[in-house]
Parts: sequence; structure tokens; C-alpha cells
Amino acid sequence: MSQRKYKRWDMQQVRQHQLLVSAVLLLTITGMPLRYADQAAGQKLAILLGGASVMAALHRLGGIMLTVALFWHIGYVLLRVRRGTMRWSTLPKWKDVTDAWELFLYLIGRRPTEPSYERYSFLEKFDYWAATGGSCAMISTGLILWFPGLAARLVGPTGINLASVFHSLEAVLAASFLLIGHVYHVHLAGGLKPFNMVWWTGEMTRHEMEEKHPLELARLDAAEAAEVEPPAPEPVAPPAATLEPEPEPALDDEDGDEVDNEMGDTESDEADDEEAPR
Amino acid sequence: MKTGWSGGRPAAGPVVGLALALVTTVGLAAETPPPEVSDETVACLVCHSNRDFTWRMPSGETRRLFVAPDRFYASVHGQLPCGECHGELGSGPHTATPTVDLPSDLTGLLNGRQGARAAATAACVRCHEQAAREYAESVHGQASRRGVLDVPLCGDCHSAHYINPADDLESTVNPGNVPATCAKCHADALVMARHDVKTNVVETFETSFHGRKRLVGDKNAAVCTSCHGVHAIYAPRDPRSTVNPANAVQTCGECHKNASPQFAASFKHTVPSHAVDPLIYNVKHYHHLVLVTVLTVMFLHIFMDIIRRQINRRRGSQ
Repeated sequence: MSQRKYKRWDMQQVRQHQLLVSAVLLLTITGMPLRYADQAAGQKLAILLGGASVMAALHRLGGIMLTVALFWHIGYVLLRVRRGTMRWSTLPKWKDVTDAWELFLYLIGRRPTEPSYERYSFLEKFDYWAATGGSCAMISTGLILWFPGLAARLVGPTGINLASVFHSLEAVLAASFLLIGHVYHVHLAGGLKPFNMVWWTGEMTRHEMEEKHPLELARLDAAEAAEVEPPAPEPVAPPAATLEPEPEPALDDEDGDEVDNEMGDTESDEADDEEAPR
Repeated sequence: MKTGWSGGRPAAGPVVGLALALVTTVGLAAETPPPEVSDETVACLVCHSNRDFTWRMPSGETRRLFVAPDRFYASVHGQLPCGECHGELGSGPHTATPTVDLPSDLTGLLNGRQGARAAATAACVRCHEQAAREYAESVHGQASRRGVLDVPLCGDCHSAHYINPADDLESTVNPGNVPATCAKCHADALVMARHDVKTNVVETFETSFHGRKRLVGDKNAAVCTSCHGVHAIYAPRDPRSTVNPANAVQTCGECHKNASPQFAASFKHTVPSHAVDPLIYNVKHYHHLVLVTVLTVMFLHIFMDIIRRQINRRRGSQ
């Protein structure tokens, strides 16, 4: 039977992520040969990419793509704020800290289950802010290295050398973190079959929601139940409720608030899971 | 054994060596001497094209006397007879001391030097006087005048027999080979220590943006000579130096049209430390710390996650 799909991202968000992925991959492939120019692998990859000048041009194209992705996202956020549909669900909360601690306890075997996550887990929030902050850092230092003559007048010799050192180190950190850590935890690990397809379709199956975002699912179900009053015995609500671990609502009053807020929420799917806009 | 051919006793050496040279290399030397090659050269190469031809000098040093005919013929001087540079040496083993003739104002240039190398350098000066005068004023030339034997003479950078134009990829002074040519001395800690010159100039160049671009195949990337000049190389504190702050903007400007003093000051052969560029040093240091920490936690998390899922699966299937 085909599972019910849950819309997590609209197509704009999906396209933003796709552009970001393309930019990061292109930048990594065309940047690493210069980072590891003293090694045979770096020199060979440079030849494969068509030589130093083609590589440099592609890297700059990647930089432009990353910049477009960043400003597109900023514009998108601003637009949603103006329309009042902004959920602010990526903002860090105290629950993220307790989630991290609980995850640690779970990993060392001191807790039977993983923490239950709301719309975004603390890892996803970290990835989001790391990618956003990292993009800003890489774009600004990249621009300094792209236009060193102009940049020297603005940031001086120290600024140029700092940009050079930082761009090179941050590249390794960002690329490793995104291409290994993010891909593993968000796209591969856990009950995702075959892997998280939100980046392509913007949707998650019910099973994936149960695995990855049980609190959000519970909230959605509750809202649905409140909205569609007549069929009182909602068939999907009980299993989701049992999935939810006990300590969660007791531990986190913020979350309880949200569920309460959402109960009365009777908007479309997207506005449905809005997190207590203030 | 004092001086003589490699192998064999001193008396029999020359005879055996000559015979050997004739037998093993006549074919090689006579193989394809292009018509422009002088007869004298062909005659010299009867012996000197033998790959194993070495000679123990009075100083005790064993010197290779091999000249690759094809590479010499292909060089810019391939048509010159050997005597043009080496003087009249007669038949081997050559005992004549070559004469060192220099223009009167350059006589001090080869202070303390003698023998074939000095003679060969003097021979270069005879035709390349302009370059010689530039060199004589340079930091290398001035040191040579003071009797410093470590400084390079013409042949140390240009090679002796295989001199090619700088645009030839094989040339020792081709931009692609310049760093290696300069590194012969400038990466040699012993030689540099004698003259109180930093040895990290090559390393700092290789790790710089220019150095990296060159390593990934950018033919336009600046190399040593792009900034420091060719024959007229001066110490950076010398106002005539192309890298002296007074001239650096112009030097950078050859490639970077909008170069400024700040821009020029951003390229230097220094490694950040507590004393030099502490800000850059600290950013490098702490970012590295962050990088190692984040990646360690990341890999640990992935590893533990995989193990935990395995445990859960096993428990679930029981």
C-alpha cells in the first residue's frame, strides 16, 4: 500500500537545496586540487578538470551558484516573514541541548530510544546554520581571493592572507562535514527507504516521519483530529502516540505549548505545522 | 690513486679509457651529428659522449665529463665548436690551463675562481656582456666579487651544455623549472646558513597561491624570477630590488593591474607564528582545532550510530 506523504518542503526550498548541493559539489571538486596541489592526486584531478584555468573558472561559477543560493534563501525567508508564514522552526531551542544529551545517552546505551524530534532535529538545525554561516564565510573570503587587488585596499595585507588561510581550512571542514556527516545523518541513517528524498520531492513518507520527526507527526495528527472532528476514532493517531516516548512532554514544556497552539490551527498543510509564531 | 680515468691504474687508464670511449660511443656520437655541428665538436664527443666518462681531479673530486650529444646539438649553442668556450685544450687528457679573459671592468667578478668553470663563465661574458653587467651588480655578482664561491655563475642557472631559451619547456630557466633551479641553492640549509639567507623561501612559495597555481598547471603563475628579476636580482632592502617596497607595486602590477602597496605587502615569504602575523597564526591554529574536533565528533557519532542500530536490530530479531 502506498504510504501517505507528508510535505516538508515546498518546491522553492527543494530547488534551493539542489542549487546548494550542486554549488558545494562543484566548489569541492574544483577547489580541492588547489588545496592539495602538492600531492599527485590534486595535480591529476586538476588535469582531469581541464587544467588550471578551466578549474578556476568552474570554481568561480560554483561561487556564483552558492551566492545565488544564499541570497535566494534569504529573500525567501524575508518573503515568508512578510507574509506571516514563517515558522522559525530552525531556531535553536533549549530542547536541542537536552536532545543532544539524550542522543548521547542513547548512543552509549544508557537510554532505550533516540530522542523524539520536532520539525527539525538539533542535528538538522546545526547543519542548517553551519551551511548558512559557512556559505557567508566562504563567499566573503572567496571574493577577497577572487579580487585581491580591490580587496587589498579594503582589508589590507593581513585580511588577504587571513582569507587565504581561512578559505582553505574552512573548505575542508565544510566539505567533509556536509558530504559525510550531513549525508549520513540526514539522508542515509535510520528508517529512510532508500534514503531521505526530501531534497528531491520535498516529501516524507509516514514511516519516515515516525522515525525521524515523531513529535511533528503527533502534532500534525492532533491538529488533523481537531480539524476533522466527526470521525473521532482517528485510525493513524494511536500508533503515533504510542511511538512517542514518555518523558518528552513532561521534560519539555515548550513543546507542550506548541501542541496546544497547533490544536486550534486550522490552516493549510504548510501553515499547519507552524511553530507558535510570536 | 691520485688523478686519472675512472677505473684502471693511472698509467694504463688514459689508454684504456680512450679505447673504451671510442668503442662504446663512436656510434652514439656519430649517429646523427646535424650538418651544422662543427667538426671540432664531433671530435671532442668521441670521448665526451661516453656516459661513464669520469675524471678524478687534483682536488680529489671525481667529475663526470659526459656531454649528451643530442641535447647539446639541440641547445642554442649546438653549432659552436667546444673551443669557443673551453679555449684551446689540445687532445686529452687536457693539461692546459684555460685562460680567463674578462673585460677590464669585470675582472673582479670571478675573484678567487680558476679552471674550466671560470674560463667557461668568461666565455659567456664575451658574447653576453649586457647580462654579465647586470649580474655583476646583482646580489649574486657582488658576492662573487667578494670571493664567495657559493654564488651561482651563468652555468649554475642556465646549465653548461644544454642551454635553451626560457620559453623552451626543457630549459632550466623556463618558468616551469625556475623554482627547482633556484631551490638547488635556496632550499639548501647548509649553503643558506653560511650567508644568513632564509631557506623557507621555496617552501613558502610552493604553499602560496602562486605556487599552488603553478603546481596544478597554471603556466602564467608567478615564479621566483617573475618578482625577483633575472640577472639583476638584489637583496630586498636594496632600493634597486624589484621586491623592495618602493618598487613592489610596479612589480606586482606587471600581472595585477590594480596592485596597491597593501596588495604588494600581502605577499611575503614568512610563516605565521606567535611573533610574525599572530592573528593569522591563531586563526590557523584554532580553526584547525575546530576542524579536528568537529570531524572527530562527527565520525564518532556515525560510528556509534551504526553500532547502536546493529544492536537494536539484533535485539529486535531475538
